[in-house]
Order: sequence, then structure tokens, then C-alpha cells
Amino acid sequence: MTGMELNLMDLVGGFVAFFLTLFVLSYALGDNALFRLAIHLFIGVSAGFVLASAFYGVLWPQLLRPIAFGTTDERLASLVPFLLALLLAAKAFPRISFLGSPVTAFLVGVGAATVVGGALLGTLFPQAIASMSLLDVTSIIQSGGDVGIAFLNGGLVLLGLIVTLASFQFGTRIIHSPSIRPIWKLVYWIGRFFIAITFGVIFAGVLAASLIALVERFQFILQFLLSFISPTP
Amino acid sequence: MAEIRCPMCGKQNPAEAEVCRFCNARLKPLWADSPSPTPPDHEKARFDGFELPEWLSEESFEPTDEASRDLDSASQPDWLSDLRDDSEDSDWLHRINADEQPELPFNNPPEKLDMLDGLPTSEKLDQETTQTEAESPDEAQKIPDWLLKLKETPPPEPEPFDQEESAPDWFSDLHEDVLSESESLYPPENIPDWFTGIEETGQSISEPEPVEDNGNLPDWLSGVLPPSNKPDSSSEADFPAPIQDASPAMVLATDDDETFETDIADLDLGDGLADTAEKKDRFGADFAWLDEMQLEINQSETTPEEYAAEESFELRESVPDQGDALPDWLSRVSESTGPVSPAFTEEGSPAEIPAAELPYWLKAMRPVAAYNVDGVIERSTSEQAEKSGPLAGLIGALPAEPDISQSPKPPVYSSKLQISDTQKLHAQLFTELIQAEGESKSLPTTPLIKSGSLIRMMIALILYAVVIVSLLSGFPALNLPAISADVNAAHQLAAGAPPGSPVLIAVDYAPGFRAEIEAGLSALTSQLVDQDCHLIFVSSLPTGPIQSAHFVTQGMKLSPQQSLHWTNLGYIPGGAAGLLAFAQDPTRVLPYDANGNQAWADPRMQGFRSLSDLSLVIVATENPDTARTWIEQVRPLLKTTPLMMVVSAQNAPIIRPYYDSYPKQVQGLISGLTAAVEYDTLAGRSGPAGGLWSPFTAALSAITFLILVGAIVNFGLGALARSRSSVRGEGEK
Repeated sequence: MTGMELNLMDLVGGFVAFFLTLFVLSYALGDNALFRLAIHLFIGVSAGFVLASAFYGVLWPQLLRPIAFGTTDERLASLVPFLLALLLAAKAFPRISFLGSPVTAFLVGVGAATVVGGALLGTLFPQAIASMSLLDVTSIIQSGGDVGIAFLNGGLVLLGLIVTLASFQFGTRIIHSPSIRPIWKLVYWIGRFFIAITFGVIFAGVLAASLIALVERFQFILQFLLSFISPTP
Repeated sequence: MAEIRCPMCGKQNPAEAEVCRFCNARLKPLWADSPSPTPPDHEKARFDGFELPEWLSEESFEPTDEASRDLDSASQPDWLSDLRDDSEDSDWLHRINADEQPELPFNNPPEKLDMLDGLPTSEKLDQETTQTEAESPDEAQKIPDWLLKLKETPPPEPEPFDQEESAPDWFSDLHEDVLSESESLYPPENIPDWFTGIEETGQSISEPEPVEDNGNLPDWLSGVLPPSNKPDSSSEADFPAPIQDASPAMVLATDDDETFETDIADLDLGDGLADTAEKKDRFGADFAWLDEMQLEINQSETTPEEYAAEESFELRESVPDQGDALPDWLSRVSESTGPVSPAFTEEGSPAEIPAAELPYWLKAMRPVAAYNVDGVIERSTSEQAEKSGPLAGLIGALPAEPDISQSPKPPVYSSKLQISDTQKLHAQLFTELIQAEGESKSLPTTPLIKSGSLIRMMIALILYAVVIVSLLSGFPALNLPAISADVNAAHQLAAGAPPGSPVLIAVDYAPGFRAEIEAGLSALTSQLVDQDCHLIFVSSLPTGPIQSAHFVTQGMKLSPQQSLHWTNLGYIPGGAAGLLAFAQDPTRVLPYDANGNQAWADPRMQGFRSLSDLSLVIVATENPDTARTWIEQVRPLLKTTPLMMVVSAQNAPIIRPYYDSYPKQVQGLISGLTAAVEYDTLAGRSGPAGGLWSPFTAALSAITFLILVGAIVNFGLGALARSRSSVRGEGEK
């Protein structure tokens, strides 16, 4: 599809996206008004879109519509969330903000309990079991892996886990103290090495993700510009 | 039996009676509040040797004096009454005569003379007053200004008394009568020397003529004269003002002294009493009150010094006022008064009292605005004498300007602080600090292009150029990556989804990572669509529903026939709790789709009531927290349903432990563009990932090269800086 074949909305949207992309890429020359304009537009549009999405996706279908057009059971079931929502809205007014404190406490309590429970059952215990099974020969054999490589992999994981946790126990003042044993200094430096490798991998992933985004934006610009020149970029 | 006349009702009373038996008025004074009714010393001495006539022994001086006072107080203002009282209290005229009084042929009672001798004379009082003022300025400050000015003003010289012009006729006649009669009765050879002296210094009265009582004399004076010479009482108005204002006792002293003495002599001769002792006995009873008054004066609280100071001011003020009306002889008597011996010679006189000094704290508290520090009030040179009204003759009695304009100049205090050197240093530092705050500092000039910005722009330009060139030219034409075990497992997992089964896809990535995530997600969903699976989109992000729609319409490029294979349930609110609730009961959390329709009424959704009914759950996210939330909250409720993650390359290291663990918490993992390209290769289709691969690898190579160059340059600069510092350190050593 060439640029000439686009409808008006797609054409306008294409130009807006094109110029906003250039505005964002202009940050390479330093902070400037075009970059700020693009950022402000992004923040404003995002806020408005979130509000619209919350109203049409949550408030209206799950709260207001049952109260207005629902059955008696739906109305009674929606009355409690409605009252809680009103109390939560009181947080916007300083004089009656205390009315929203119970609702806030309820939300925070439920959220904390959910996160803690999920972290224990979904991450801590399974990961602890998985780490212990790295050196389990039966598990290695059942998984079909090489025992030697599995032991080496499991040993590195176990070493990295121990020295990383141990390195957080030594501060700079302690590790530079003359009374500390050299073995602890070695543990400290190995732990720092593992942490550096981890951060390096994460940085490489961030850099790769950013490069993909950059390439995709240039690809869009070139496709948009070339769409007015040739049918296919 | 002697009788006295009541001064109030005029009736006769016994001499020993103290109160009138008719009107209960006191006949004898309790105490003499002023020395005016007390006869002068020399008069007392004269009375001692004579027998007064009956009228004189009966007549007391007080009634006439009190009557005169009552008259004065009723008709004159207070200030003038005060002045008169002061003049009467001062008894200046009595003392002047007393100083001049020579010794009489008969001795005076010593106790009575001591009382009068204790009173200071005018000259002595002037000296003492001046000395007191000089030594005690505080005392001078107590005196009103007008009185100070009046005191410092030299008294005007009394005009020469012209007897012929000023004295009334009756007074001239009285003089002539008395003098002629005295000459006839006392030949010059019998006149004592002191009287001759007075006569020489006084007015020359050559031929006294008999006084005719023409009605101009007062009663008391008529009593003194012979019956044939009593003047008419109706002529009292013709008296000069001083004589009218003066009390009878004062008139006895201030009137023509020669006439009075002549009368006394006449009475003495007429009485025929030659024995002095008898005279004393006769007058002793009448003047016993003088002894009482002397005792009261001696016992009074007023010390002689204070009394002398007060009398000094009173005399200085009273004399000039009355000097104009005094007779000439009296003026000459005053002028001829010789030096007076000091009245107070004992220790503790004002001259010997050391000047009191105020303590410094009291001086500090003394008001300096109303009085100057030195205690000297500047006098206005434009003081004028009052010409009319009750203040006529007074100089400077009324200030020409308000007192506030005469306030002295306020003292000037030194502004120099008494501080130490340290305090000076601190003050100087503080001053410099304040001045430095006021000075505008020039901003450091920033170069148009900084080195950091230049490097950043160079890196950006290199990166932009590499990407653009790679996109346009397709260079470098790198081989596609080999298919990894992870991608192979994910492909097998997707291929295991039964046809028509519901597959849940969570679109939880930010729009900025759309290219990376959708590259792998599009390859996966295309396979599922090809397997006729029902795609159900949800999102824990508010932007998720619209991103899902955009992905389906723009990313997957589904045909209208394929559009029936997907449902957009919309946004799951509540974060982790919302996900947990959705995992527990998806129909209750999301009853409607993104378009507001009943989602679960769709026939394609009939087989989906819980997450365990799903054939596959795919979570596409770039956020490790979102991925972990899905793993922690939803994964335990999936039971046998596999969980696949399509994640960004940046969170792959975090999600991989869940994928590599045993048992696996994540069954499939597609991370980054590389896995997407592998999946497309494995699926045998060309997706968007293929178009991004070459530019991505070119940009990644360029950025790696730049990082290496930057690291080498940084290492070289650091080594150079260390070598310079080491050389500098050796040079300093």
C-alpha cells in the first residue's frame, strides 16, 4: 500500500507518528523543545487514554451499568464496591480524606498479602527446590541431561548464589579492614564478579531492546517516506 | 484688770482668756505660722521699756493681719497671694531694721534676740544661695524656670521717692506733725547718737507739723496719734499700695520709722515710767507668745540652712517688687545696711557640705531630653518683661516659645563599639559575606558544544547512519541464527494446542517495546491461527486492550475470515490481586469484552470457564515484574496448562531461571528478536523479525565497536593522567 492509497486518518496518523518520531530522535542533539513536545504529548495522551480505558473497561461495565440496568442482586452486589469507591474518592479532598483511609488500608492489605503469598509459593519455594535439584543426579538423568555438564552448571549456580549472597554481607569498610581474612576477600570479589556479569547481561538485553526499537522506528520512517515514492520499500 | 478684744466679734474679754467668751474665737494664737505678726526685735526692745497705751495693749496685731489676709485672698489671684505670703513670711523688712538697730538704752531679753539673730540676712542669704546653687545643681533644678530667671534678673533700682509727689497729704502732714512734736519734746542734745544717725541718713524732716486727723488714717494709726491728730479712717484708700497690702505689724516696721519712734518716745514720756524692770514686767505678759513662737521655730523641722535658702529666694523676689513703692527713707536704710555677720557659723553650714554626686546609674537614668547633661539651661536672650496683667514687671515669667523649643540639644554618644579583635574579625568576615552575596557572579561560559554532547551526537550519527544504510541496502546480509532448543520447545508447545481450543494471550508490554515483542508474538500467534485456535486477549495494563487490537489488525494482518478467531477481554484491574482473581474466576472479573459485550455469551467462549480449560497461556511482556506476577499468581492455578513467555531481551535473564528450573514454571520462552527470527525460520514464514535482523545486527556491531573504542580511549586517557600525576609527584619530591 502506497502513501497515496492511505485514507485521511491513516495519512494524518502517519504524519503525526513520523514527526513525533523525529522529535524523539532529536534528543541525540540534546534536550530541546521538540523532544519535550513529543514527551508532553505522550504523557497527556496516555493519561487521557488510561482514564477512558478505566471508565469504559472497568467503571461502566462492572460498577455503573449493574447499578443502573442490572437486576436486584447485581445492584446489591455492586452497592458495596460503589460505596467503597466513593470513600476512596474522598482521598481527593483533604477535609474528608480520612474517609478513604479504610478503603486504602483494605487495598494495601489485600495487595501485600497477595504479593507475599505469590512470592513465597510462586518464586521462593520453587526456585529453592530448583536450585537444590541442580546437583540431583536422578533429576539430571530424568531430565536427559549430561551429568558432568549438569554438575558444572549446578556448581556454578551454587557458587554464584553463595558468593553473591555473601558479597552483600561485606561492606566496603569491612572488606578493606586489615583484620579480615583473605578468603573472605576472595568470596567478596567473586560475588562482585557474578553481580557484574548479571548486570552486563541485563544491560546487553536493554541495549538490544533499545536497538530494536530504534531500528523499527527508522524502518517506519523509511517505509512512510518511501510509500510516497515507490509502492514497496 | 486687763482685757483683750476679740478679733472676731470685737467684744472685750479677760486678758488670760484664750478664747472669746462670746463667739469662742481663739484670742491667743497657738503658733505663729509667719513671722509677720511677731514684732521685730528692735520693736520688741522698744516695747520693753515703754508702757503701751491701753488701745495698743488691747489691740493685737493678728486680727488686723488676718483681716488683711482675708481681704487679699478674696480679691487677688493665688499666685499673687503666694508671693505676698512669701514676702510676709520672709519678714525681710523686719530683719533689715533689726540689722540696723543699734543698742537701746534698755537691754533686750537675750532669748528673744537669739531667735531673730538666727535668721539670715539678705546679703548672707544671697551668698549662701549662690553657693548652694553652685554646689548643688539638683537643688537649682527644683526651682521653676521663671523663678530662676526672675532671680537672676537684677532687681530694678527703686525710683527715688518723691515725697511731695508720691506721699499723700495725710502722710506728709503726719510726718510734719510728728517731727515737729518730737523736736519740741526732745531737744537735739537729748537725742541719742543712733537716732541722730538715722535722722542724718533718713529723710530730712525739718519742721514736723501737727497731724490733722482728716479721716485718711486707719484706725490703728489713729490710735498711735494723739486724739487730736487721728486721721480719718475713710482716707485709707489714699495709702500707697505697699502700705495697704502690708499688715499692721509690717506697717509698724515699714512705715515711717521716725514717726513710730517719736510716738513711742511720746508715750514713754506721757506714761512717766522710768524703770526698765517695770517696763519688762508690764510688757512681759503681752509678748509671752513671742517666747512660745521662738521655741516652735527652733523645734520646727525646717533646718536653718533650708530656711535660709528659701528666704534668700523670697527676699530676692520680694524686694524688687515692693521697692518701687517703698518710701525713700526705707530705700536709704536698705542701702546703708552694712555687712551682716553670718547667721549660721556652726559646723554643717551649707558652704561646708560637700557636693553630693549622683551615682553613675542614676545619672544614666536621668532624662537628658528635658535637661541638658550639665544641668545648665540656656536662657533666652529675648526675654521681655511683662507690661500688663498680673505678671506686670516680671521678666521672663512667660516663655516666648514652648518649652519644647528650649530643650537642650541631645547629647551625642559615640558610635564606636567596644568589641574585641575576634569580634571585629567576625564582623569583617560577616560583612564580606554579605557584600559577596550582593555581587553578581559571572556565570561560567559554556561552550556551544560540549565534549559530552559532541561525543553523544557522534555516536548517534554513526548509529543512525548504520541503521539507515542497513535498512536501505540490506547490508550486511547475515545468516539467520540457528534454531535454539528454547525456540524449538516453544514451537512444539504451540503446535500441541488442539484446534479450536482457547489460547489466552496477555498483552502486557509497553508500546515502546512493540517491535521486539510483537516480532516473536506474531510468529507464535500466526501458527496458532493456522491451527484454528481461539485467541483470547487480556492485559493487566490500561493500554493493553488497544494494543491487542492493533496487534491483531496491524501485526498479524488477519483476514476478515480470521478475525473471528480472537476475543479481546480487555483490561484486568487490580494488579497482582486482579490477576489472582482472574485466575480464580475469569468470568467474574471480566464479564464483558473490550467492546462492552457479554464476552462469555460468545459460543467460542463456551469451553472456557477457568484457566485450566485453556490449551496454552502466552504472556508477552518486557517487564520482569509483570512476568513474575503472572508466574506467581496465575501459574499455580493453571494446573496442566503450559505457560509460555514472550519477553524482551532485557528481562530474559530474569525469566530464564523459571524456565530452566526443575520442574519448569515456564514451559516456553521466546526472548528478543533472535528467538523471533528463529521461530519464523522454524515455522517457515517471514515475519517482521526478518526485516529487522540485518539492521539490528549492524547497529549492534556498531555500538559494540563504539563501546570498545570508548573503553580503549578511556583506558589510554586514564593511563596518561596517572603517568602525568606520577611525574608531577616525582618532581615535587
